[in-house]
Amino acid sequence: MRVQLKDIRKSYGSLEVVKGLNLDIAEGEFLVLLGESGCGKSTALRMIAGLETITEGSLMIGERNMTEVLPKYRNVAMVFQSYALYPHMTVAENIGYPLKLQKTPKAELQSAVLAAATKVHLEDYLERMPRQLSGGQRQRVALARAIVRTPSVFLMDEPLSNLDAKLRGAMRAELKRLQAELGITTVYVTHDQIEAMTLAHRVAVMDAGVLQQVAPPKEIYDNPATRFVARFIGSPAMNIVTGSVADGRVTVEEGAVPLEGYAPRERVSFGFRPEDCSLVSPESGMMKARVFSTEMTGNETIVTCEIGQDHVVVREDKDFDMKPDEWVGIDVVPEKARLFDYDSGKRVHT
Amino acid sequence: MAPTRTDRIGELDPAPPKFGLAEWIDQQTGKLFVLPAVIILLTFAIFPLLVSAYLSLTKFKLVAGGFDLRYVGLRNFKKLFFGSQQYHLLGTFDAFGPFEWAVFVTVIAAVVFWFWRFFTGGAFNVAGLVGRLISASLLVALTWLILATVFGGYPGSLVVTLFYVFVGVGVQFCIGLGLALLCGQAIRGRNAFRIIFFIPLMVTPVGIAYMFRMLADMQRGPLAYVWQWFGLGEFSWAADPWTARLVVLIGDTWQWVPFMFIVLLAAIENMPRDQLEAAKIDGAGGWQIFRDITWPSIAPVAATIVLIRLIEAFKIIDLPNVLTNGGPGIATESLTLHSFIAWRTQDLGGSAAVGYTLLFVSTITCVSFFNFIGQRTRKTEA
Amino acid sequence: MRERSFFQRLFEPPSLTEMAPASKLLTYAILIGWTIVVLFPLYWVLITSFKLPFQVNDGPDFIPFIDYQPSGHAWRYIFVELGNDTLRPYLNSIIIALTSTVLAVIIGSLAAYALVRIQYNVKIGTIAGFIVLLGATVYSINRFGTPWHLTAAIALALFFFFATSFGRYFKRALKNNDILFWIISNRILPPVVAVLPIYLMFQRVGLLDTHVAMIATYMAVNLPIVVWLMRDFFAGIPIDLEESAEIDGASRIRIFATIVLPLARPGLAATFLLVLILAWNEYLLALFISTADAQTMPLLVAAQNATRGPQWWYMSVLIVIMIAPIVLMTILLQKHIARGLMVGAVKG
Repeated sequence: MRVQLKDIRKSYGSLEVVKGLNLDIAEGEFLVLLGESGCGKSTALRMIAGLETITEGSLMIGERNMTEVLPKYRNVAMVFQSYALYPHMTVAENIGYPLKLQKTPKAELQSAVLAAATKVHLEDYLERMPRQLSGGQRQRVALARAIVRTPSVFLMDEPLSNLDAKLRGAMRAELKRLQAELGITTVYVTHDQIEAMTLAHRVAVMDAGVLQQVAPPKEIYDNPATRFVARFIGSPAMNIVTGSVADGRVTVEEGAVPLEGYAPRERVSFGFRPEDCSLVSPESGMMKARVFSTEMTGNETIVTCEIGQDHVVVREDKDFDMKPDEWVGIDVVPEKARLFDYDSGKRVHT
Repeated sequence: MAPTRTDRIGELDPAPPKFGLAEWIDQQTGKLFVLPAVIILLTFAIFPLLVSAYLSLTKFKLVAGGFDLRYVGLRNFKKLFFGSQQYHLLGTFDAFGPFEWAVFVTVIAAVVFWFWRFFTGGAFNVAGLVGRLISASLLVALTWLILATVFGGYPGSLVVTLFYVFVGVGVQFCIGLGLALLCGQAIRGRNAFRIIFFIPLMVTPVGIAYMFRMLADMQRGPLAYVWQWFGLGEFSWAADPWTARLVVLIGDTWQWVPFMFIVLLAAIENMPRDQLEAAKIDGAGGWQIFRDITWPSIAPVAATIVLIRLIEAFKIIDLPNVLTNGGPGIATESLTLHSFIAWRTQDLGGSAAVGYTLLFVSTITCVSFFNFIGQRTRKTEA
Repeated sequence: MRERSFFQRLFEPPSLTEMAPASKLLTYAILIGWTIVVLFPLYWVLITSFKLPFQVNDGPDFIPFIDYQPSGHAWRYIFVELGNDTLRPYLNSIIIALTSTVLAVIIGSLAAYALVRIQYNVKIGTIAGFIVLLGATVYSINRFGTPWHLTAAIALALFFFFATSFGRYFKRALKNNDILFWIISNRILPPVVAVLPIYLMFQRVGLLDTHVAMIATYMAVNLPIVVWLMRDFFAGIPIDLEESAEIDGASRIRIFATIVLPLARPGLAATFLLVLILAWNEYLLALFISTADAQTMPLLVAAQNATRGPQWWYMSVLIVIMIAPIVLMTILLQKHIARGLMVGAVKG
C-alpha cells in the first residue's frame, strides 16, 4: 500500500528531531531510511507505526489519513532490532499472536502460522521457546510474526544489526527475496549503508532530522546530492579535498585537476571516489601527495595519502608496494569527480 | 489537529476502528490502572492523617450512642510537652553536668560548622536553608533531650524510641555489613548461610518477643547456668530499665540483621569483579579494598536500606508491648506504644498528639537522612 | 618458587581468588556463630513446645529424649481442648493475609505498571476536589446518618463529574514521579497516626472487627511496598515487547495481562511473599481494628501474656504454628525474595 509522509515533524519540547520529512513510498516498494544513529530515522519509522505521535504534518497509508490513528488500527507490522519475541510463548504462539488478537478461528490461525513459518524455514521449530533458538532463527520468528497477518506495510527497525556479519549477509538476501515475493510495501531503517544499497529500491538518507536525498542505490552512489550523502555511502568513503574552482580546473593545495564547465568558486569541496583515481609518479600526477599508510585487504590495497591537511584514499591492486612518507602523484578521472558547496555541502552542477 | 478520516475504504484497507465500550475502556486504562491505588491511599492514609490532625486538637468523650469531640486547641500537645504527661513523652530532666555540656557544645559547634560550609559552599538557596534549619533544630532539640534525660534523669517514650531507632539500626547495619562482607568472600556454603540468616525476618515480632523472654529467663532459660556462674541467677532484667531496653533491642536486632545482610550481600555480589581483581593485583590490603572499592560501590544501597529501616524502626511496638509490656514503668515504651496506651485509656486526643509527634520526628529524620546523607552516596557513585 | 614459612602459609592467601587459611577459619567461625544465634532461639521454641510444665520450670533442658521426655500435651491442648479458639484466629490470619495480599498485589501492580509506562498529568484541583468530597461524605454520614453505601456512591459520581468537567481548569499538575513518590512516601506515615480515624471510620459503618475492615486496611498499608517493588520489575521489561503487541492490535489491558504479567512473574512472586509476610505478622492495626471475631494470630499469641502468664509450652506451640508455614515458604522461595529486595533497594 502506498505510504505518504507529508512534511512530518517531531519535537520533544523545544528539541526537534525530525524536521519536515516528505516521502512518497509506492505500493510494493522497499524503501530504506539510512542515517547515523540519532538522525531521526527510527523516530520517523515509529511515527509511521504510531508508537510516537506526529507533532506536525500528515501520514497517509493507502487512501486513509493515519496521522492520529492508534497503532492497532494502522494494520502495519513491525520488526524490532531486539526482535521483541515474547519469551514466555513458543515460536508458534509468537507467530500466531497478532492473529489471536484479531480473534482468528483456531484452524485458520494454525494454517496461517504454519504457512508463515514455512516461508522463513521455521516449520520444524514451532514448539520451541525463543531462548532455545539461535540469533538468526529468532530473527526469522520476528519476520514470520510480521508476515503472518499480511499487513499493509512492513516496518523494520535495524532488524539485522544484532546478527553476526556472515548471517547478516545471508538474511539480507532472504529478506530481499521475501519482500519481492510478498510485494508488501516496506520501510526499513538502518545505519548500515551496505544493507541500504543491497536491499532498497530507493534509499532515503537522513542527517540531523533532515532528509538529504531519496533515490535508487545506484543514483545515490553516483550522484550524491550532498557532501554528507557522498561521505556516508561507499566504503571506503568518497574523498573530499578542499580547493577552489577557476579557469576550468579545481586547484587544491598540491596541484590541480582539470574540470570543465563549472562557474568559478572561492572554496569548494572536491569529491572523488577511491576507485576513480589512481597513483602515478609524483612528477606526472595531477596532485602531489605523501603516502600515509597502506592496508592490504587481499584482493586490493587501500592506500591513504595526505594532500595538505586532507586524507585521500586510493584503491590500488594488491601488489602495490610503497612505504609511508614516499611522495606520489594522484590522477583523477574528471567526469567521475563531484563538486559540493563548501559551506552548505550541496552539490554544485556544471 | 483533528483526525480526518477519508471514508473511501479500498479492498485491502483494514477494518476501520470501531468505537464502542471496549475502545473507551482501552482509552481510559491510564486512569483505571492508577485510580484504585490512589483512592485507597487517599482513603486510608491521607484522609486519616487529616482526621488525626483534628483529633489531636480535640478532647474525646464517649456519650450515649456514640462519642463527642470538643475542640481544645493545642492543649493535648501542651500536656505532652510541658504538662502532666511530660514525664511520659519526654522524660524527667536532670541538670547538665560538665560531660553533658561538653557533648552539647560539640553538637552545636558541628551544626554551626555545617551551616558555615553551606553558606560558603556556593550552593546556597532558600529551600536548602529552610531544610537545614528544620533538620538542625530537631537535631539540637533531640540532643538536648537525650542529654537531659539519659544521664541522670529518666527518658520518656520519645528518647526510648530514638534509642531503638538509632542504636538498633546502627547495630543491625554493622552486624549485617560484617556478615555480608564475610559471606561475600570466596567461601563454600554461601547459599546455605544466606537461607539460614534470612529466617528471622519471617518470624512474627510477637513471637520473637516471647522467644526472647524465654531465652532471657535467668532461672529457666537456656543460659541459666551462665547467669548462675556469673552470680546473676537472682537478677531480673525486666526490673531494670536499661537491661529491659537492651533485651528489646536484641530482639529487634535478631529480626532485622537479615534484612541488612541479604541486601548488602546481593550488592557485594553485584560488584564488578575486575575492579576487585585490579586492586588485588595492585597490592591493596583488605581495609583499602573495602574503603576504596567495596564501600563506594555499595554505599547507595546501604543508604537506601538504612533509610528503609529508619522508616520502619520508628513504628516499633510489638516487641516492647509483648516482651516487657512497656515496663518496668514506662522504661521500654516506644512512641507507638505510648499512643496505643493513651488510646486504650480513651484519651484519643492525647493518642493522636503522640502519633503526630512521632510523625514529625520520623518524617524530619528520614527526609534529613535522605537529603543530607543518602543523596551524597549517590553522587560519589557517578 | 620460594619456600614459604608456616606463618606465611597461614596468613597469606595462596592466590588472588583464594583466602588465607587463618582468615578462612575466622570467617567460618563467625558465620557459624551467627548461624547458632539465628537457629538456637527457634530450636528452643520448638523443643519447649514438647515439654511438660515441670520440665520447663525445673531449669533448662536442652536435648529431647536425653535431657527430658518430649510430650505432645501442649499441642493436644492447643488443638483439641482449645480447638476453635486456636483455629478461628488461624483461619482469620490466613484469610486476611492472603486476600489483602492478593488485592494489594493486583492494585499495586496496576498502578506501578501505569506509572512506568503511561504519562500522567494529574491536576492538583482534581485531588483537592476528591479530598473535599471525601470530607463532605464523612461529615454527611456522621451528621445526618445517611447510609454509607449510598453516600459513597453519590460522592464517587460527583467526583468523576468534577474531575471530567471543572477539574481541568486547574493548572498545576503532578507528573509520574510525583505520584510515585507520593505513593511510596505513604509508608513513612506511622500506622498509629492513621489507625485512629480508620478505627472511627469502621466503627461508624459498623465494620469494626470484620474481615472486610482488616483486609481493606492491610491492603492499604502494603500498597506502597507493592508499587515500589513492582515498578522496578516492570521498568525492566523491554518496551519493545509491549510496542510490538500494541502494533499487532492488543489493548493496554491485554498487553498487561498476556505480556507484562507473565514476564514479571519472579517479581510478582517476591512481592507477593514479602507482603504476605508483613500482613501475616502485622500486630498494631489488628490490635485496634479486631477484637474478637476477626482476631488474628499475632493477637492470639500476644494475648497469652495476660491470660496464661509464663505458660511457655502453650506459647511455644502457637509460635511454632505461626512461623512454620512462612519460614517453610520462604526457604523454598528465598531466591526470589532476595532478588526482590535487591531490586528495590538498588534502584530505590
